This record gives sequence, structure tokens and C-alpha cells, in this order.
Amino acid sequence: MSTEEEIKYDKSLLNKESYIGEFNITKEMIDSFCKSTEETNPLFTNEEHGGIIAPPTLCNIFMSKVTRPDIKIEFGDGTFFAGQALDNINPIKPGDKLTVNTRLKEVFAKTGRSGKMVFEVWETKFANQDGLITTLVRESFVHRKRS
Amino acid sequence: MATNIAFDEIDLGDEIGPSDKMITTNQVFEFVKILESKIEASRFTDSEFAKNEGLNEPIVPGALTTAVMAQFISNWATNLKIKTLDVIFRHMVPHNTTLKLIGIFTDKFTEDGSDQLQCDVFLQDENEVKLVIGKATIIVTKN
Repeated sequence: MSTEEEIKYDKSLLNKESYIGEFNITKEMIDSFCKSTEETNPLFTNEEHGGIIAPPTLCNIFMSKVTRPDIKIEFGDGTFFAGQALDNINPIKPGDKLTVNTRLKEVFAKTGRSGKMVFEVWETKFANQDGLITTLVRESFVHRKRS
Repeated sequence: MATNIAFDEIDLGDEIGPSDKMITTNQVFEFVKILESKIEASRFTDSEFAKNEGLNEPIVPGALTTAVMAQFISNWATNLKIKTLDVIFRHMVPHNTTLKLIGIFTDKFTEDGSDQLQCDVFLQDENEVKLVIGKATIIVTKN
């Protein structure tokens, strides 16, 4: 098992928030999301149910718009998307304006059957117009040597 | 859609599903159109583009796959709310093929007065190969 000290990357980026942008949530956006997933849950589709809220993974559609700084890892020759985790903290509603920031949360190494791998974990925060965090999305990327 | 479920009715090892699901090309196009006014050729929408990226065929966007897995869990009962969902993509998910969703409850606990469940969830292909694996923490609301 390697320690973080052995991994060379731009450590000045660790925990430094980068502003990504703002996204307006519309009812049409939620409707389209529900249509594409064939969603029928009245919480997300029926306004008479007490006002719709967004399905729990709606924020994921914005993740393709998140551009992250290059942390200049000096390891491996291939990078793969390893997975993601979503934390739903407060509901998202039509009319919300979400402000998005991202930060490098951690970099760590693991050694498995195929050798050493370095994981780069980013946390992206979605907050609404009242400053309440609605969603946290953590994405992991793994760097490894192909051969 | 199901009805409410009582926290006490759920035991570790209880399963959700299995449930068959197909994500069609039309659904992928609808999904891509949420943010894009015009559908550009990509690994999700175009066979040639996908082949040039070394894929056999266009694939389902990861965000759509995740949405389907979340939907599978949250629609099992009317009083479930997904608190967290972790997913690991093991293989590409193709369009227009039969997929199988399965969930298994692995833990239950009460935290700060909130009844919660942990559930492993799998998206498999027809050969029961796990394409995406996930773990959800679910709040069981009392109403």
C-alpha cells in the first residue's frame, strides 16, 4: 500500500473550490428527465401531489458540464472513470437556481492484483438560491499503468 | 406502483425485484435532449462514433443508468427516499437489450430518529453479468 506522500500531483488543488456555473431547474427539465426514464412516481410527475420535486439523480445530468483542472498526476498512462456517489441533502424543485462548485477531495493509492492504482476523487456541490446544499456528487477516477 | 412499506416489515436479505428493464435508443435521445437542443453524434447516440471509440455499439449514458437504478429502488414503495447512491460501472450498458435489476437489503438502522435501509442494487445483462453495481441508503418515511 502506498502513501499519499509518494504520489506526485499538484497538491495546491486539494480542497480548492472551483466555480463551475449555475443551472436553472425548470419543470420542463424535470418532465423530460421523467419521460426519458419512464418515471411515473407522482412525487416527480404530478403537481397536484403537493408540488413536484426532482428525481434524486437529476443533478447527474449536469456532471458532463463539469470541467476539472488537471492535477498533473505523475503516474500511469491510462485514466478510467471508477464510479460515483450521490448524496441527496435537500430537495430540488422547479424554479431553483443551482450554483455548482467542485473540489479535489482526495488522492490516494491502492495496490491490487493488477498493481498500483492511484485514485483521484472530486466532490461537486450543488447549492440552491437559498444557499442550501441540495446534492453532493463524488466522482472517482483511477490512474493505472496499462502494461 | 407499490404502497407504503413499514420499516419493521423489512428484513436483511429481503429482495427487491428482479425486474426486467430495457433502455431504448429513444429514451437515450430524450435524455440527451434535456440539456442539448440538438443531438450531436456521440458514443451515446451514433454507431459510427461509438465504433471509432472502440465500442461495439452506442451505450447508455452513465447518468441515465444511475437514474434507472434509483427509480427501481425508490418506486418499490411510496414512502422511500434515496439518501445516498454509490455506483460502480463495471461494463458498458447497451441500448435496446433486456436488463435485470435486483436489490438486496443489507442493513437497517435508525439514525437521528430516521429509519434507514441499506440496499445493494445490481444492473445485470441477460447473462446475469453485473454491468453496474450500487449501494443505496434509503430513508423510510413514516407517512
